[in-house]
Amino acid sequence: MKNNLKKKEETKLQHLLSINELSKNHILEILELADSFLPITQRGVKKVPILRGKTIFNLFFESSTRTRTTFEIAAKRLSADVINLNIDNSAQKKGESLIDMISNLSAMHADMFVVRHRHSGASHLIAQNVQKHISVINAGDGGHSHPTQALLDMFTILKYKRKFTNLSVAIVGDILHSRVARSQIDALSTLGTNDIRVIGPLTLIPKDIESLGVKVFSNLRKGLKDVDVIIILRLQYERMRGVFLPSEEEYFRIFGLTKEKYSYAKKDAIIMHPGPINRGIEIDSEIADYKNSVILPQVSNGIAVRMAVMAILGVNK
Amino acid sequence: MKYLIHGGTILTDKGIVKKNIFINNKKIVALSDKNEDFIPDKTINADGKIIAPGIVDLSTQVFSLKDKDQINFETEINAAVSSGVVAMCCYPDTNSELDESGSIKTILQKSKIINKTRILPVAAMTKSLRGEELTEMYNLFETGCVSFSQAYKGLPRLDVLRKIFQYSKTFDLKLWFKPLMKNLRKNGVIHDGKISTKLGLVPIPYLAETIAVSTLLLFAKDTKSSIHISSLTCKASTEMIKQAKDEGIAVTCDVSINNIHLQDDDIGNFDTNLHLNSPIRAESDRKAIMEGLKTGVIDAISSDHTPLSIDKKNLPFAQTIPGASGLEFLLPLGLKWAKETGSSLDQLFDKISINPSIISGLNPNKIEVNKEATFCIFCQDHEWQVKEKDILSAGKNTPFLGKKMIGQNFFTFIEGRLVYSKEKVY
Repeated sequence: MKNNLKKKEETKLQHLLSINELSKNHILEILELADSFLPITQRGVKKVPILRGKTIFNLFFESSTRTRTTFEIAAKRLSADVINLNIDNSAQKKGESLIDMISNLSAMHADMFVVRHRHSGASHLIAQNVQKHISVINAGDGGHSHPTQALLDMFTILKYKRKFTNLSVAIVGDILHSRVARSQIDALSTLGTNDIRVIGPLTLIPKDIESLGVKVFSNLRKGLKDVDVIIILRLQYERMRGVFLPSEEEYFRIFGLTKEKYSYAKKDAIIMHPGPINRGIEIDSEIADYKNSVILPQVSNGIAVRMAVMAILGVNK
Repeated sequence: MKYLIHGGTILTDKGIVKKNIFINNKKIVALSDKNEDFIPDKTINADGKIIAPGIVDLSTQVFSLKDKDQINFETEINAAVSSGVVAMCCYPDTNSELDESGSIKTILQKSKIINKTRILPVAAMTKSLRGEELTEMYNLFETGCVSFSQAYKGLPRLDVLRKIFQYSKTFDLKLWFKPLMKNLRKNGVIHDGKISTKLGLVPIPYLAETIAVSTLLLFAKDTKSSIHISSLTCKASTEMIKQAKDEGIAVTCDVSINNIHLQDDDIGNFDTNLHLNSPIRAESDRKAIMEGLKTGVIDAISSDHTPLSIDKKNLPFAQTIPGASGLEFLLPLGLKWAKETGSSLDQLFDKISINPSIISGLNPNKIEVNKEATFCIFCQDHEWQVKEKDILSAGKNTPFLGKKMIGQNFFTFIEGRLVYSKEKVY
């Protein structure tokens, strides 16, 4: 079973668990297909019959608005039947194990699970325990991975910058708790971006992050110097057990993105954020709504990218 | 019962000899080529096999199994005896805190009834392992515990720790520690390095161990106590212990087979069998441990056997219970260490039998005339693959599942009794 999880250069994907398993071609194929899905989302009848008759379970063990909704919309636009499971009311609360729950749902003839879980590796565990015809999409597992977010970010970067090579990208903030940052770094590296910077206080930078091919900056202005893309991350208070920061105010003063700090980046640098944004903590309102902010297009692109991922996994069987 | 064991190669104090072993009642009565007056009840052919002192395992957590009934206890003893382990130290656990003499008595009684591998209970040094109040240490010692520990619960509060050192010194009681600062480990699950960063798992910094090691060494120096530090994981700890030994501080230490043979890269895609109490660290740490064993800085190799049911491991990584089954791999993985470092069988058995005996306060098992016959007979070239169905322990949780092992135990003798045989005995 574990072989399914390895990087496959030429073979078809069964699951999408992390960017690590994708080749450059896999990523480009997904982005290309997403691009072809964009017009569908602007049509009167926003549906294609690619996944008609397929049943997709949205299993969100951790709260989410944006991701869950965009996955649901994406699945419906592909004509799949979507079941949203309210995990709070489910048998997990009654002590049923994750694996037993998955076995039961599989017995209901599921074709795909979209999983968000607060623990790293939960999607891998599920993927190791499902039958061959079932696909698992990781919609965020602990601090590990959030591959569809990274893919939609790559899609957005490609839309605005038209390239991945000769590009400077800065990721700012809570890198330690961020599954998004890890996936973005993996995706950018795979696509050939060689100037990836992470910026934040050292309490929020994980050890040996340089081994992932990034440069660490503790000074926001220096880190933003001449970058093409700025990705601001949310401070994840829900994952912060212990003392990581003295106060939100001090954080904002030093690491919050303001127009003045933005001026160190290239003139046409785009501003991205995976959401939800905390105005006045990691980003100033003025800059969040600035003309070069692509935060809302990211959300729209999310639907097309998730359609592409589901379509590829759904027809690979 | 009289046994004749012929054809084997024997590890003795005086080196390797090829003699027949004659056993009568509990003892070895002769080591010679012939003994014509001796009529054995049973004869064992040990051709091509090594006969070595019975293995003593310094660290097991057999109480990690929730069902503490005799069947499970017996299962683990059978796993031990099949692997040539003749005595094993069992640490306290949340399920069995071993903080009062009644629980020690029960374990010793069970061990006596099963009458195979000897169980050496390690009692709690503080009540309910909370690190706040001392247990009745002398009382526990009289009941038969081998030493005192906080197991993996972290060092007690420092003022309490100081009293523990002083009180135990009064009676020369043995203090064993798993070096761990709770508030630096917190909810950490793996080594702090590129793998924890890649997988997004909460890391355990080196400092969680090295601060504990340095603290313990300072206390040992202050009270002139001797201490044993168990399940070291990092290079910096071995360096501190070397320096302490050079200074004359009475410290001994052990490492688990996992930390000798694995590194954090092996966790791959969240292999929960590598979620361990003593985290698998970087390759440089592994190499330092291999070397520390060779030079004698590290005194012993333990299994750190922690049997767990499958449902405790079939969960997202951080939700699993830490620990790995290890008893059945102590000998083959010890042999692997010896082979990889060019160490002799003698040196290996110092690490898995002689030194652990001395650390536990037992007479070392030696294969000599007039000594009790307590030894194992194994084949050092025998290849086998680790398969779940073949693991005798109730815990099938091992990071070595599917891996090839070289070396297997065939017979175990304890005090002149054949307590395990893989092959038929005539």
